[in-house]
Amino acid sequence: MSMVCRTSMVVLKTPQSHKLALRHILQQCSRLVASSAPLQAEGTYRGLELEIRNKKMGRPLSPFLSSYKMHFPMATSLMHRVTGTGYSSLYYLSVIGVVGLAPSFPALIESIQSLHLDPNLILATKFVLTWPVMYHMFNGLRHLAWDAGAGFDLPMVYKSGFFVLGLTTIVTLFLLSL
Amino acid sequence: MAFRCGKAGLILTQLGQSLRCSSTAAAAAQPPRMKTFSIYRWNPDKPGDKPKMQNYEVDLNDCGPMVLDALIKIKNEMDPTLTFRRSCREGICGSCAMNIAGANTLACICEIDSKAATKIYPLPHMYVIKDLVPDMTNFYEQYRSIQPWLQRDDLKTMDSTKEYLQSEGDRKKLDGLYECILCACCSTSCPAYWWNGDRYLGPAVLMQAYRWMIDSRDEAFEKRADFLKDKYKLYKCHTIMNCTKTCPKGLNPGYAIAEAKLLVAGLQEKSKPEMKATA
Ligand code: SF4
Ligand code: SF4
Ligand code: FES
Repeated sequence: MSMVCRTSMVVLKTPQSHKLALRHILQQCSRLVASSAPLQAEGTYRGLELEIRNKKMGRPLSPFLSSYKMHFPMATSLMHRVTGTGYSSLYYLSVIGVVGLAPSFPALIESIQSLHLDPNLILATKFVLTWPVMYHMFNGLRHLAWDAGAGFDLPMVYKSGFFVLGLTTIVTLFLLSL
Repeated sequence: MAFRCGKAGLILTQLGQSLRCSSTAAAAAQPPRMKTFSIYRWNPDKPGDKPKMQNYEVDLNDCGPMVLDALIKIKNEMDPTLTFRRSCREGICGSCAMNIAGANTLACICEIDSKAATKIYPLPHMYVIKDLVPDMTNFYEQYRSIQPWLQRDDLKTMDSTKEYLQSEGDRKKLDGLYECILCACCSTSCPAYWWNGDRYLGPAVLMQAYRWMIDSRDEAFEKRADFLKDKYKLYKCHTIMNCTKTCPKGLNPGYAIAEAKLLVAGLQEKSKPEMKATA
């Protein structure tokens, strides 16, 4: 640090812009302090700066979603997010719906029963409503295993994915048969 | 190819016998095996230019086996304006990373498949400098931010004729990590990196952060772990596993990140060096 500051002093003595020299010293010193202090978040904050620079230059963003081929592990992950957000929104909506619109829950069930819907349709609806919850739960366990550092070999990632899909379907069917 | 064949031809004609060129002649007599390469183009020097796909037809009978061979052939023989990075042509420099047929890989070690057409894009979700050349500055800045070098208190005082020691077992822990060539195939395949690339460090950089955290000779573990301790830099990884799926060197950044998460969260501890680094 002292060496850089000393060389900057030389810069200061020249009749050049003092302000510039001073800024130079400050920059150099702060950089040195930064490198001996805990790791700075420098790179991360510059990310935004770089983005702005690129945008100003009119550079296009290369295609990503449209150019990336979906593969099985990615699909299982995507489904995990969709079932998660989908189900939590559905949950809140239905709570609002039941509390706000229907007189009471049994009354709601009764009104559905009074429609005399096709039992197959009811079964299908139950399946569509149950499968995502089961999937989210079992795939959540898969994620917990990963968080513990287990099952990261690519073949294992595929196997556990298929296992979750199979288990989800079997358990869903079992629940519907009750 | 043409150059090599011409040179060989010269020598071999003198010998009155041309092995290589006769085989090329035989190949030329075969019906051409045409393949379409559909390549992303964008020219920064043309004001208002919009990115577009441009098709090139290549006869595979007269082309090397890898996608990079086709790109070089197109540039040499059809369109010198086509721009891409390459250097080593053997999968060790990482320059030729791009999105080929929907997945990120190195063009020089990616074999041309038998399909009629192949699409080639730059690495995904990156600002394009020209054609297949993305701006890597952010990626390199992020790599810089993890301080990827050995840090010890005795670096300055250490006898420069001596080396730091490491047991075979501790050295083994770096296998599967040190081989990374920083091609950025994994980072630019990662949806978390697409959405948060300015704050999330991405698999390539995180794997190196982990590599330095667990090095038995390094003493900056606390500092390194502290740096990663926020909502974005490390924990934006949602274990989507695009990274591991795409790594052209067969590495497993997804696994390295999971281990790094455990270390940073304090659920696991850095193991004690099996051997003192200084004798
Ligand atoms: S981990 Fe693999 S894909 Fe990622 S930068 Fe390293 S070599 Fe490239
Ligand atoms: S495992 Fe993490 S780093 Fe790898 S693609 Fe998924 S989110 Fe990205
Ligand atoms: S040219 Fe070096 S990795 Fe492809």
